[in-house]
Amino acid sequence: MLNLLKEMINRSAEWVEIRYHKRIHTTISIKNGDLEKSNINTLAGAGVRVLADGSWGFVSTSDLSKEGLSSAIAEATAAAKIGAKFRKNKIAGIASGKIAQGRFDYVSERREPELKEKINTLFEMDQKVKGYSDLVITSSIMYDHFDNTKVIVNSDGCEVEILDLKQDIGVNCVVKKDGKMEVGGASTAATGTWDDMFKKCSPDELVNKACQTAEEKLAADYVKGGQYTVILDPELVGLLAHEAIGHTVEADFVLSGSVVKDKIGERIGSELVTLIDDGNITGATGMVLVDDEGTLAEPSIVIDKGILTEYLHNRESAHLFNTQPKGNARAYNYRDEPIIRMTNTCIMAGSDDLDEMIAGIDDGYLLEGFFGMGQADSTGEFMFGVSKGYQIKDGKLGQMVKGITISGQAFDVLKSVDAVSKDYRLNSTRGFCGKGQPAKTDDGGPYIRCQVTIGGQQ
Amino acid sequence: MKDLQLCQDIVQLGKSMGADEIEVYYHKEHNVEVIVEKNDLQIPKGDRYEGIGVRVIKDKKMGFATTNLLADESLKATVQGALDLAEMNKSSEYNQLPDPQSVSLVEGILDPKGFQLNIEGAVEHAGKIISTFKEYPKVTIDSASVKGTIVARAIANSRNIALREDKTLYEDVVMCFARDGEELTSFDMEFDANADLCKLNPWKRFRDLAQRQTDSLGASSILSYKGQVILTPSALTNIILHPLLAMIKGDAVVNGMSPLKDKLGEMIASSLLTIVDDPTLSSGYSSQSFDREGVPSARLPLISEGKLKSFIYDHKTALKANTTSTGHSVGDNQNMRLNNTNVVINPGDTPLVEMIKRMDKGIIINRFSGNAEPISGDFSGVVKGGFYVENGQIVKPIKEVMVAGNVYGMLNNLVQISKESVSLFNLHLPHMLFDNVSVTGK
Repeated sequence: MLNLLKEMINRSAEWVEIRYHKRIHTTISIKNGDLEKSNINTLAGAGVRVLADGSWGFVSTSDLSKEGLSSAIAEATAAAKIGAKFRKNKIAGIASGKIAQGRFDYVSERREPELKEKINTLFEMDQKVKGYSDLVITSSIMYDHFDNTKVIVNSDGCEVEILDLKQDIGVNCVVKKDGKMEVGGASTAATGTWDDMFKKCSPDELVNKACQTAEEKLAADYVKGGQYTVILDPELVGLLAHEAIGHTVEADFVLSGSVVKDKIGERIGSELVTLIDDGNITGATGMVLVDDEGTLAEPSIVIDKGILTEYLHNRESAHLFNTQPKGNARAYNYRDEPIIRMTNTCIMAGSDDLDEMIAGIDDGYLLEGFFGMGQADSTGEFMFGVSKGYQIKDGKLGQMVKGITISGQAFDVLKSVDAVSKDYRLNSTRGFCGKGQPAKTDDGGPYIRCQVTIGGQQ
Repeated sequence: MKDLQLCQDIVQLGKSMGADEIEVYYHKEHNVEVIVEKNDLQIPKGDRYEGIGVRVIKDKKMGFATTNLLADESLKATVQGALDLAEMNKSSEYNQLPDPQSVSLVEGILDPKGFQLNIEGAVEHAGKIISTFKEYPKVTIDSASVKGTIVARAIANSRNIALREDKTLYEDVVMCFARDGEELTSFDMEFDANADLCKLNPWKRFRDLAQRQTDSLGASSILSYKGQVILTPSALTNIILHPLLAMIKGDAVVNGMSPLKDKLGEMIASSLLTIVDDPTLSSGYSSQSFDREGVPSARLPLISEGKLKSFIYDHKTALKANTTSTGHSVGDNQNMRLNNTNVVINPGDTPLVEMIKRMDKGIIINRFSGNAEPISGDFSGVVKGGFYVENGQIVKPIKEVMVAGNVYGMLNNLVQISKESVSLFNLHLPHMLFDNVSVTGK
């Protein structure tokens, strides 16, 4: 495949990138003891991107013959030239970054159980959810396995083969008591094998976490809305880092006028806050050693002790900002063009003790886990559903509360941070980041103490 | 008809390989799309896709495999993959394929002139969108797309279902925000779609969007209150419709998760509310003559004047519920799931301006960013791009305002429905006025 793609690139007069991508996606879903979904999806083809007359053109094809690829290059070239007639700001150049060459196998030891064995484990987990208590009325287990092979070649000399394996699993539990129902969930994910995935959270831990949360919520009261000092757990901190901050520093959003436009070098958070994005974290769900423009991943220190230091780039935006890309151009499948995405986005650990952080709050909450939806604007304004919270009164943890949504302006929240724990966790949860295309990303962080608005029914 | 023949050939292949039952779904699409970012053309794109999905049943055990590699060897491997998965499955009496039924072709889903959009046309159309937004100097297009799609779909199964149809869809989507110095509004979006390119006319909606964004500058918070809110179609979708429709699905009903499961025929909402699922709408976003399993499409009242009339089912959930499929298996060759098609909330008789005039104090929620949990019905989240109303007048744009309540409680607190209605992808919705909603400000 590599030689074929190189031959096609050499034939073209324009700048060309060809990205072959084959994905075999296995998905297994069990609900209430039934194997609801057992699918194997094979999707393979090439995305061809051409830069001509200062404009992009993109065409995807599953015809991988010389004729098919040649025709796709011709169509993409024509599209770029038509686009160039209307594009106001022509692309004057694309920054190179570190151009990848060679073979990158993200998971070198690939010992996987047979699918039948995996399905048996999933059935066992489903049974354990059902057997957790008499209150359980619905159980579901969802497992996804993504086996990706890519070959990327471009006119700048990129020649790279990538073998990537990602998998995730989620457990959901619905309980019912006195006519009231509650949901609990837990998940884990990895770039790695089946065993790697469960190293982060075992099947029993997933089941217990989902069921315990659902049952606790049955007994919990609703939170009272208002402005509070809270402690966010690593899952919520990771979400804040990704959704509310990470998206605003993606250079395409910056160019559109996001809230951090022209703020490089300015203080945008407490000096306790350092935020990075790094595709190199082994085993993380967002592990991307080489991005879909063929750029080697390097860590980006986005916020350094409260100061905004850099944005996330693709090759086009990096050139505009006179910097270098660090591996943030990603495409979901061969039918998608690479766009600027996060990889693994984390707030770094601090030096505070969690118990002391709790002891420092007179009236507030310890908030744990993401539930439902999380959204944020390019203004940095965010809203996250929270799985559960514990009241803090006079420095002591109290009753559990539910029905929690938190919101605020992310950078106001960052400025309000007055304690950061030494405990740190990479979350590696199930699901995707959505930005037109899905992308597997990871996030994490310590516990942080800050100010947020809590929405509630009381 | 080559596509249908391919499906029928693979059905025969599957039977010869040992499948008791087999269904083959073919999907081919050609997309032309132009992406706009930052008020400028970003990238023109072309995409051709063709693939099949194979569902087999052996010994009452089911397996499903898909591929876009259509060489003979790959097709055989895909059928074998589905059979292997079936082997690993548990048997179930509900693993059956539907029988053929008479299908009436839905009109108005194919452009009468054939697929008309090419890269040149799409680029030119994108240029018009950019020009339109230039009339509003504080507004920036964050992203926009002009897209045309032609889809050919075909299905054959071993019970002699053999169907095919073609469909076109042209759609414009714009996401934008307004900026004034350091101040930014939260993003908002508008959309238009049609099966006939000549009928695509997004311009008024786009101008209204740009004006709404400009008017949203200078927003501030309000004091907390409990009372009236107007939900725009977008907010209505996220707060009310998504959780409600999730619980009208047959799987939620048969799994015992739906709080509506024993309420068929009962009043669950104000008598003002009528909701219909209609896959037969001419030029509808989700219109189709038959569903993903080959079951004919039909108009289905879900809630009539407040009374719960029907749940939606695909073939398997219908068997579990001891009823018949309502034709709501949706998807393409790569996936299939139970879902709604086009959903219509019947408009009321009060013009929106009158609805606002009659409000003593309240807010208009333009968009909602938050959680709406379908099982409990609890929702809580942030108001995006809202406006504060006092004594029948829009007083100011608002921000940092949260709203919370319960969907099922809200359905009985519905006060008025607007006369006007708009389409939002597959949803056709009016504005709705509710009472007794908790609104949290600063």
